[in-house]
Amino acid sequence: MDRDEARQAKAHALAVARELIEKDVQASTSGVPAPRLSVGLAPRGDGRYGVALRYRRDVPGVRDLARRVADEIGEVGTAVDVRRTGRIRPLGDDPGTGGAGGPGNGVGTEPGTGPVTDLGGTRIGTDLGAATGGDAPPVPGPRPPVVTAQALGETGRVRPLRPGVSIAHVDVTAGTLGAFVLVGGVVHALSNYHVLAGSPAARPGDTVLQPGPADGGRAPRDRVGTLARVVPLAPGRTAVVDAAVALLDEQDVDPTYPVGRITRTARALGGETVGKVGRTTAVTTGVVTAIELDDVVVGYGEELGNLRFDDQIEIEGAGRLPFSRGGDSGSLVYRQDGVALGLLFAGSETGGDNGRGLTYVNPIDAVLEALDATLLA
Amino acid sequence: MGAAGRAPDRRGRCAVADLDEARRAKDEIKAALAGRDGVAGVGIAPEADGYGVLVRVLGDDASARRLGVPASVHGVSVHVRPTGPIAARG
Repeated sequence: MDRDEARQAKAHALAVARELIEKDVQASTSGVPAPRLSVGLAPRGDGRYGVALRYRRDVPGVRDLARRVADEIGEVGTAVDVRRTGRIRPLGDDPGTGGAGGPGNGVGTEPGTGPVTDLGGTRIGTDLGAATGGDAPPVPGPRPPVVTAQALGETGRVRPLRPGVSIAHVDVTAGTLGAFVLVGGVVHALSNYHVLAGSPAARPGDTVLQPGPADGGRAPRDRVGTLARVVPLAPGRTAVVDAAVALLDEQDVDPTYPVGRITRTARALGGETVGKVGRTTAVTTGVVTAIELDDVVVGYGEELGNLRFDDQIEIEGAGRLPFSRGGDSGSLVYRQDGVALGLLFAGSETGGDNGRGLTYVNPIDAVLEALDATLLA
Repeated sequence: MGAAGRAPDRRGRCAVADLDEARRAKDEIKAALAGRDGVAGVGIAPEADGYGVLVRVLGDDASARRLGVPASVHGVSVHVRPTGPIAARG
């Protein structure tokens, strides 16, 4: 990975670690002290980078945490460098602990652990300490998209536009173009509010890029349209949909990928086999495990906080794979017979019978009604 | 035949509930759990021949057990299952 890709992978590793820690804290009744795990970038000597995971050998539980994080992010091909450290002190505090890391590497390590360079590494033990201390837990933000190099879906520039490609507001990272819809008889791109707007500060007319900025999209070169209509999200207000549309500059699009034109909608009944095409995990298959879910608490970060959603659809990936990952937001979810059921917007990294996380989807009829839109016939 | 008003049999099995019965049971469970920490969602889960209620709980199986939700409401099965924190898939 180059440095930018590695930074994205690092953000992913941090998110996974935080989630695993939160899960362990919730499962614990004994107030276990915070594991100390540092996450940074590890240069590989050829100008490329991996993700560095560093744990203190004298802290219970952190070795297992490091292994689980490494397993999770390594599964998508991220190069991971896991090492234990001794107590970390500022260099010069105790010259005897500088060890093989040498001067200027940012951390002191035990002899034999090899050189360590932590480029902006973030210590996450502080977050866990807050959670165990009875303070309000940190509000998880939108799951960052999996780094471009590891995404299985379409992260490049695609014209004419088609469902499943990377797209985002100019100030957002990247999500997925779910479908084409007609609003007032004009073709628009459908995705999530948090993909096409991303913030209450967004305004109609803001630039929308394909691919999204996290995949290298830049204005004005990759502009495909402008933010046109949103269903606003607001703190403290229960929502049903996370949706927005972008007015496209070019009306010539390919709505047939990957299963032909999807023009009909239905309400999920539960148990259906479904599919989607997303920017990160491409085409996946899953099963509807629940319908009409209320009070689904979804993290939107510090600005919007935790928002509640009613009437949601829950999906689990088929086999041993997750149905979605970060960056798949905005994907259209459809039945095997090509009928649309929902708009993918959220998920967990753990849970479900296969342990690979659960995906949450807005009912498509509510999405289209809120935007006064219809699927492109 | 519906499940409303019938207790589970001696083996703890519930009668088959239809969607409307599951909705009524869901509303009761939802009201009972209102404001409880760790509840990540209350919905309806498909079963082999009908529907039950699904409660998603942040944490693991132990967290789910600690919630103390009954195994059935008016003869409708109630399943309590863990999940990790849910976040927007940016």
